[in-house]
Formats: sequence, structure tokens, C-alpha cells
Amino acid sequence: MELNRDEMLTLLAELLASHGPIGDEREIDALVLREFRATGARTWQDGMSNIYAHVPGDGPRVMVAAHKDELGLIVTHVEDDGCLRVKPLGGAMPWKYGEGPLDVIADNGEIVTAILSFGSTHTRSGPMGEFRRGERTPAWNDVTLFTGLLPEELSQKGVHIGSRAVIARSRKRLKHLPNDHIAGFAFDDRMGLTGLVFALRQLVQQPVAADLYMVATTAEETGYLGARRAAQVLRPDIVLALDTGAITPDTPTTLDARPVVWYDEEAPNSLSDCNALVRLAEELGFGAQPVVYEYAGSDAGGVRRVGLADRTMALGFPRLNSHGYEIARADALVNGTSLLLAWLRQL
Amino acid sequence: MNQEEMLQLLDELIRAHGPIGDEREVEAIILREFEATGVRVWQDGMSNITAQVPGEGPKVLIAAHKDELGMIITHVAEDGVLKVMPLGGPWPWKYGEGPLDVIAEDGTIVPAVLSFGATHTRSGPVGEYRKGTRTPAWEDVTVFTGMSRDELRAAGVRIGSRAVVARSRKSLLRLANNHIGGFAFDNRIGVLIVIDALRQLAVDPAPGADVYISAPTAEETGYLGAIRVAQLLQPEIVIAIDTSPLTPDTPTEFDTRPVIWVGEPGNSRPDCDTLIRLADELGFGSQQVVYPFAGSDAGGIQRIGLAARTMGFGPAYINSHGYEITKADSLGNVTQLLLAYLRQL
Repeated sequence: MELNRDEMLTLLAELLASHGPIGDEREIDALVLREFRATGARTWQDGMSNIYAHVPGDGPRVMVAAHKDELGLIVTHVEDDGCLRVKPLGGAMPWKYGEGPLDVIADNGEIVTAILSFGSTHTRSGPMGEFRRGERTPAWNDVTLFTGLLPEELSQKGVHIGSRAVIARSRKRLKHLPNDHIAGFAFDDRMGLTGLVFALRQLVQQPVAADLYMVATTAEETGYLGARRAAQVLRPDIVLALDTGAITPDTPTTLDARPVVWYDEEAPNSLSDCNALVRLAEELGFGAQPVVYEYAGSDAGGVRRVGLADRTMALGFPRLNSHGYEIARADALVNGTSLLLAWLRQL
Repeated sequence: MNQEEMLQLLDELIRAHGPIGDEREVEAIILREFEATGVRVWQDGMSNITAQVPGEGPKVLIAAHKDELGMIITHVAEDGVLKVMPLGGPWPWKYGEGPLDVIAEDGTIVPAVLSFGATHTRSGPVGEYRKGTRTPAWEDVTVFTGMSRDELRAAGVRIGSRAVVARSRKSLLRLANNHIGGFAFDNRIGVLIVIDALRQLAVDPAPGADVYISAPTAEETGYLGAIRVAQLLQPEIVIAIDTSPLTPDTPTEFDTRPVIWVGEPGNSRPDCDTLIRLADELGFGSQQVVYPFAGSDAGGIQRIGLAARTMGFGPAYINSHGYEITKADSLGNVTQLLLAYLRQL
């Protein structure tokens, strides 16, 4: 069965548009449950919100993880004028977001629009003065979220300390650029989720020699918490994470259609499995980019470091601007998913 | 115009691009709106657009600048990655990563992405941002197009081409309790107000003034358009209609009262007093402000002696030079104040 690139991009666009800031992932959960269930595989959700699909088979227990949480913000204060103060969830940076609309998610799931605000630049005082002089980096403490609502109105709508905020849906559309490029927020890890769903569809039709669990994990961005919980429950032999392939100044990764194979992420992944991935990518014709990351981590490494799997590896989609408005090659989505399937089939 | 009509026109104005020096899109709308009133309208060689409602009395120039903040391409790499410099005072951390529109020679849009690079690093500028020691600067920014240098050249993009926040990010946003948000409120709001005023003056001219309403260029880079218009017109009185930022060093409050700039050097104090009195008579009142770090076309003209009496006012707003927010009810108040001032001359 061929992977259909356009169908993959359609699902990616739908996933991007659905919200899932760490810990309030209702919207994306609904999509993932829908897609997993539609394959016919046994699907369930645990008490932490991780979503599992099981494709039974004879062989090692394999957990393939793509995380469903995205970067976001959490409300820390509601000021007297109805402005909100926030802390980041995961590695969101205010200078990556810029000023503009955010969606604050109320208790009932409805969206309250807010504007990420740094204030007026026509001053030399305060933080703005420091930014004008180039003295320090804008921080989340310098940001307020303007809602136009009064505290009582916010409370009535179900917005309070602890409510999540995320980039506004209007800014989360999949953008197409020339020469097969795509761009958008939350590619991390909606590209991985897309790969997971399309792989699952094929694996249900043609199972492999493994007891296979596909898991959409929560809270990867805050310490691989969902994956660790899933691994405690599943006790896998092997964990493979589908995640980013960040192009950084200190790695030789390039923006092309070759999947990134993580040989190391604070602790080395399984050398023979990484070698197998690189070899398979060559055989499939598109090749791979081996990388050693010093400052990136995945669910696979997160599980490895707490001793919950024998063999781990991570596979990523090469992208610019990690944790911001990312840019990738659409063909990388197809190639990465093909590589995942090829690796599972050679078990 | 009623408020809904104003907001629809404002949305259209905001979505039209006009980064300093490439203002074709917004000019088309302004020419359309000015010409629809039936008065004499012309555009000079610098692109300033002016309409005249003749009358007996002092020559009054009302300026609402049509240029917006943007970027200009300084380098085109072989892989099609662009470097830019700011036009006027935009800040890359106010824009954030995301879509930009590059305007090609023939006016078509080439999509691009403002990029800071990966955060999963401790090297380079991002390494410094992670330590909190460096403010993101335009030299740290690359603009990704996905096209090769040859493809860009064929598309009419080169050094000197302008870039601006993408149209998809420039719609008027309606917020709770009649607030509105968007890029380029500075000074599409001013343009909106003078269009509204011109429509009313064309039907019912001010009896004691020879009124010129102008949408000049290049306010953001030194009031250059307004200064040129003033050189040609030699007005007695100049009024700048511009958005009035709330800052930590001024007492301006965020409400619907027009903000009158009383501190620009050479501003006419008697005329400012008149504006304050008229605003009280109209029922909504006004705020006065002395800005240490903001300037208007009125001040720019006054400083080189091109008018006798100058003043500036406009609606209060927050997040100047970024994603701006104001109260919709403040717009009509500014139009009413402007017309009341003209009619008492």
C-alpha cells in the first residue's frame, strides 16, 4: 500500500488546527481517537490521556510513540483589568510567538481570544527600554494577554489561573511554500502523529512480527511524562519515537526529504537499530540523516533513561525553527513514515 | 459612517499592504475613497495623496499617513534565504516567527517566513536568547522563501523589495467589549478617520477653512511625505491624525477619549485648548499627553517651519508598532472632534 502524500497533508492540516497545549488536549484527543478507531485496531485512553492502539503479533513488544501535546501557556494571574499573566508550558518562547492572537481555552472547551502583548514601543522605560537598548531577551514576565474582558466576565466564561492558552487557530493553518515546502506552528509533533496514523492504517491490514502498540503520548514537552507512563504500563522491549528532526547550528542536518535518525540524545539510542534505519532508508532510495543531538530529547530517550525499554530509537522530520513556526519538506513526512513501516516489517 | 461601516473599511485598509515606499495596495483604496467623494484629488510624484475641500479661510492640512512598518530586503542568498532591514520601527520579537508577504516588482506577493532558527541549541543568537542576554535583532533574522535566487529573480524579488506581515495575519480582530486588534492600526485608523471626515466635508464643507486632507508617505521614516506636501501647499494650520500609544511614562488611560498631543515642540497651545474645549462640549472629553518618545507629521512639519499652527490627536491604543489594540468607540469620537474643530474656524 502506497502512502498518499495529499491525504497525509490533509490530516496534518486538520491536526494542526486542533489545540492540545500540554494538559488540555481535548481537541486533539478527539481527532486521534477518531483516527485510531477508524483503523479497527483496539483503541483506549488511559487516565493520563495517552491514547493507545494495539496491533497484536508474534515478536518483541514494540511501542511507537508520537506526542500529541503541543507547546502552550498556562495562566498564572488574572489582573484587575482582566489582563492575564502566563508561564510557558514546555519550551515556548515569546519572541518566537510575537504579538498577536492566542486562544485561551475555557473550562467547557470554548475559546476566549486574547492578544499576546509586550506594550508600546514609544518609550525608553521599563522592559521596552531594555529591549530598545538590546540589553536582554523578552521574557514571559514581560508579556500580558489582553482579553478586553473584566475578571468577573472571565470567571463566568470559565477562564482562571491554570487555564491553558495556545496560538490562535487562525495562525495554525498549514502553509504551502514553493518547491515542496510546508510551514506552520505545532509541526512538533503533529507530523509525527500523522505518520503514526498512516502507519497504523497499513499495519492493521498487514501486521508485522511484533506485538505492536502505537501511542499518542501526552506531556512529552515537559519531561516525556506520558511516554514514561505508557512504558510502565506496556513494558515494551523496543520504543521508537517519531518526533522532530531539528536543524540546528551545531548539527549537520539539512532541510531536505531525508528522515533524521537520532543516534544520541543525552544518552545513546540503540546503535544497531539506528544503523538498520539508515540502511533501510538507503534501500528505500531517499537516504537518512544521522544526527547526534546535544540539546534535543524525544520520548524514546525519555523512556530509556528510566530503564523502561531495552532498545530505543528516534526518527525525525528535518525542520527549521524548532519550537516556533517550523518549515519542512512535505516529502519528508512520507519518507519518514515509509521508513517506520520498513523498520517494523524487518523485525 | 456608522461604526460597522468604519470597521469594515478599516479591515480592508489593514489587509492592503503599504510598507514604506511600496504603498500601491493601500493607495488604490485611498484613491478610490477620496475620488468617490467628488472633490479634487491628486497624487504627487512622491506618492502622497491629497484631496481639497475649498473654503474661505486659512489653509488647513490634515495628515494621516498611509505608510506602515515593514522590511526591505538587503541580501538574497543563492538558496533563496533573504536578509532584511526594518523600514521604520518594527521589532522582530513583536512580529515573531511566521508568514510575511514579500512584494514583487509587479505587486504580486511571494510568501516567506520570518525565522530565528532552532531553539534546540546553545550556539549563536538563539543561545544568547536562551541565556536572556540578547534582544532578538533584525540581523539575527532570516526570511525563508523556499525558492532559489534565480526563481526569486524571475518572480521580480530582489534587494530593495519590500516585505510586510502576511495578509493572513492582517485581518481586523474583534475582541470582547468592543475592542479591536490588528497590525498597522498605525496609521490605517488615521486614514479611516480622514476618509470619514472627507465624506462629510464634501457634502457640507467647513465654512471658514480651505481644507486639504492628505495621506502622506514615509511618516515612519521622518515625516518625509507630510513635509513634502507642506512644502507644496504652504499651510497655515496642520493637524496630524495618528494613533496615540499608551506608554509607561505617560498617564494616558485606555478609554475612548481622543488623545491630544500637547507636547510636540511648537504645537499651537491655543488650538490644543480649543480641541480640549470642543471635546468636552461634544460630551466625550479628551486626554492630553506629552510624549517623550513619539512624534507625528504635525511635529515633523513644525520643526522645519512649514506651518504656523500645528496639532495632533487620535485614539488611544496599546502595543504601538506591533499588534495593536484600541476601543472601537474611540474612532467616531476622533472624527467628530476633527469636524468640530474645522467648523469653528
